[in-house]
Amino acid sequence: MKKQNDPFEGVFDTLQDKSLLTNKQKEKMLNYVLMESQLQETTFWGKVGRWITVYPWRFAFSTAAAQAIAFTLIFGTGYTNLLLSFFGG
Amino acid sequence: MRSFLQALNKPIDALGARNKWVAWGLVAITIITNTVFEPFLGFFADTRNKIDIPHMLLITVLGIATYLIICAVFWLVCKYFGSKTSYMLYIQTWGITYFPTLLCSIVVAFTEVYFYIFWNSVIWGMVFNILFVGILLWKTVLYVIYLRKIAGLTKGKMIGAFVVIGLFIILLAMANGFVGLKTPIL
Repeated sequence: MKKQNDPFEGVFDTLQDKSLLTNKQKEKMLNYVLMESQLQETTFWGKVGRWITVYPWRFAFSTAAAQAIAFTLIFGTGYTNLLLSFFGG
Repeated sequence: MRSFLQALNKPIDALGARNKWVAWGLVAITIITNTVFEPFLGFFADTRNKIDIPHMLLITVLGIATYLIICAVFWLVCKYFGSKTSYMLYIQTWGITYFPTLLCSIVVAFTEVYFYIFWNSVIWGMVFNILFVGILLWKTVLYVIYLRKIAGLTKGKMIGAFVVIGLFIILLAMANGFVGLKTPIL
């Protein structure tokens, strides 16, 4: 059985199948697919922006982990204590 | 539950949905964590810590007041920069960005009470470092999304509002700390 990697491929297959949907349903489905595809970012910065804004905690905590590891390796507990005293109440 | 998960994972969609109950629910849980959970955690950690009910009620009211004030700041500053969003909409939506604030109030409650365990520990220090910096970045991302999506500001106007409201946020955070709200209700 052929594996479908592209979600649009499946949608267009459904649209071509005469027995499944009425013309009105097909039209509605096609409009929806076209509208959704316009929302997909294709530029590099668009993709970066989407990566940040969808699941923003993923970007925030991965960046925070990177800086925590780097600065703790350089400055040791002096750095972690500084942040703990500032934010930790 | 689905709306809460949307606010957590897809804030743009959640802000578009404008679910005021999600917003107010998150604000209420954040305030209660600050005013009720933290004192009780302190009391169970060391019974010499007293539970001051009138103070708890006072800072709960001040927490609600802070939320209304920051929404007023958003409304006034964004209006100055050309936004047409009403004050009521800010009240109904700003709370949708409160997941990092809520997480911060839980983390601060533990670091405040069990400070002596985490101090000078590399592992705990790094864990809290990741949490605090992550929370700060997360809230900043939501703040920018909010200015674009709800206030409808872009480019220079958005940067201007970001800076001016940012100054008010710092002032309100200091005022919150002064009255005993260790995590600002912002």
